Amino acid sequence: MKTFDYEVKETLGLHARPAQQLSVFAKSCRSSIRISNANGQADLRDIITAMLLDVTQGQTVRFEVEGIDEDTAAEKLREHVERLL
Amino acid sequence: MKIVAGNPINGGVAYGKARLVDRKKGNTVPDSAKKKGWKEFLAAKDAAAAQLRKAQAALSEKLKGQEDAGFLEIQISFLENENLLNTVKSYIEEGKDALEASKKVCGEYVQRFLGLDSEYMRERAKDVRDVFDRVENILSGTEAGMELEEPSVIVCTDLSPSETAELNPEKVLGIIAQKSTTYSHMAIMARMLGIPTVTGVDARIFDEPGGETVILDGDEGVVYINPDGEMIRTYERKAAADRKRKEGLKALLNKPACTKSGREIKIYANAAGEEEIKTVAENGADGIGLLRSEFIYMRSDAYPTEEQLFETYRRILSEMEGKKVVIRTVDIGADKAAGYFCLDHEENPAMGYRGIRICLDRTDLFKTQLRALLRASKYGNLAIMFPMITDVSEVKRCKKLLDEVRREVGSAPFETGIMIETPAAALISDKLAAEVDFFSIGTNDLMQFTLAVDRMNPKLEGTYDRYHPALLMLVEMSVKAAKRAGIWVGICGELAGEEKLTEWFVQSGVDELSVSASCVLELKEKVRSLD
Repeated sequence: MKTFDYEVKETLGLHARPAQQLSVFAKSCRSSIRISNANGQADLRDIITAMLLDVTQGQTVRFEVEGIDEDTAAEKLREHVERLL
Repeated sequence: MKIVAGNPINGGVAYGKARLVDRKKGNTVPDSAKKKGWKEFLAAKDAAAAQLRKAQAALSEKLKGQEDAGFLEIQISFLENENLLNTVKSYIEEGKDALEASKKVCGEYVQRFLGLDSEYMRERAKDVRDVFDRVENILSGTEAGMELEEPSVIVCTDLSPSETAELNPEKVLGIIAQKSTTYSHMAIMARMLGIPTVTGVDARIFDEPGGETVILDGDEGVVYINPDGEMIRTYERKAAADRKRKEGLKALLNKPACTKSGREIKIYANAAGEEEIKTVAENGADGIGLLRSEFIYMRSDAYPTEEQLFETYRRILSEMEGKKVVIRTVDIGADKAAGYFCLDHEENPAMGYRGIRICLDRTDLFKTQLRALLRASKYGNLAIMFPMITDVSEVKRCKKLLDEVRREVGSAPFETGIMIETPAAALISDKLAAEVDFFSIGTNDLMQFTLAVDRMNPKLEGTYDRYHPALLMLVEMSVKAAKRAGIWVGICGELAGEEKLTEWFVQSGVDELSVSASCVLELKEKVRSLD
């Protein structure tokens, strides 16, 4: 399992645009991707639960990638996250 | 004629018949709908998704390349969400019909979104309601939507996300809404589509279903119902003039602000936040003449870390794509402090422990910011500017700290300059010009200190001359000192945008004017009209 933490820079946090794009990315991976913060945990493919975590600017969230392609998936995920969030 | 005041949300003038628009709710549900089950729900869900995709395609076309906020796509995602669908399915399996199950699940998700802390996320409850409404309308066979026979000014309580997305600027001349929030789809879309909008107006002052003539002034936030002939003529002139100006100005977007004799003046924009950068670029500014770093400090609960500062600066420099960004180091004082600075109350904060004085005293704070700036310098065209300078020794100390930081983190080439905003600085501008790469004359504070006037004091409003000769003399002195030393000089503050002074500035040798983004094109036009 690959894990990394990330401090949210985006002013509106995990708003519609990044939530949508990250969810689409997560669906394209063979590994499972989870996002968590103080409010709980969500499968990134489930956009509703992810948005309900109320991820806001300044929060540190944790990403956990687990599966066959976890190395490449985690790397690509990090790129997306840094660009979108 | 009735005159109603509300909140201006988007500027411009609209004139037309009012049309009340509120979503029709099917009160009586045909019997056949009550027996619908999972199969019917799925079919309705698919049909809803198809409608949304069609709306998304139409919206993208309307926005012509601008990005929308992703609301329709989110709604489509909600519809495809496994958990959501499974919950509906399980309610149907328990015995509820499709409509009941839908309403129940909708209510549950709405509550969950409404319970979140951030306003943006709470607004998403509307998306949930909206998407379920769509499905339920399909299930019960009722029509939803806004049908306008002729171009009208619509009056509503609020618009749902999908109604907003379906707004046709050719049919909707203006919007009068009762409630709306900053993150509402309606406000965002109105701005993107350029539809004049006013909120905070109770729809009940209109007779159902509408038909009164209205003039909507989106700049002032005023609505005139059944305006008299004179008002109509006034606004017709205003609207025509507005349209003409906008078209004319758009043509200047990529043209330089050159006088007829070929002298180019840079027109920069002021900015105090990342979200303003897009507007700066859209208005054709040649660069940012004043980026007020305070916004980073004031939006934080504690001292921003070097990383946070670096990220913000890096993003802004990148987004400006090589255009110069003049970043002023933090100019916080007791009057605009962030609490964590722990600044003592001062009788005279404008002349107190602020700006560069805090930075030269709390050098760790200053160096953190400088490190962030230097690291960010590789990502764009950076110029650093120090505020509230009164003495050559201050500049020398700043430069020494810059050198120390440069040895620590390295940097790409950047310019170093100072604000001339005190009479002292203007009077010794020759000596200061030898130390820096540029001046930016901060006319707001310079006027305040020169005329000994507190510009925030309402009692003094209108009692002093904003073009006071003393002020202009100090400006001229600073500009000439800059020219003699061979450095560039810009003007920021309210005087920069005063068209009465533009010619004088240009003739004196000013190289750059920094104004608010919305004034950039008009100022370009002014410069281009000069010899």
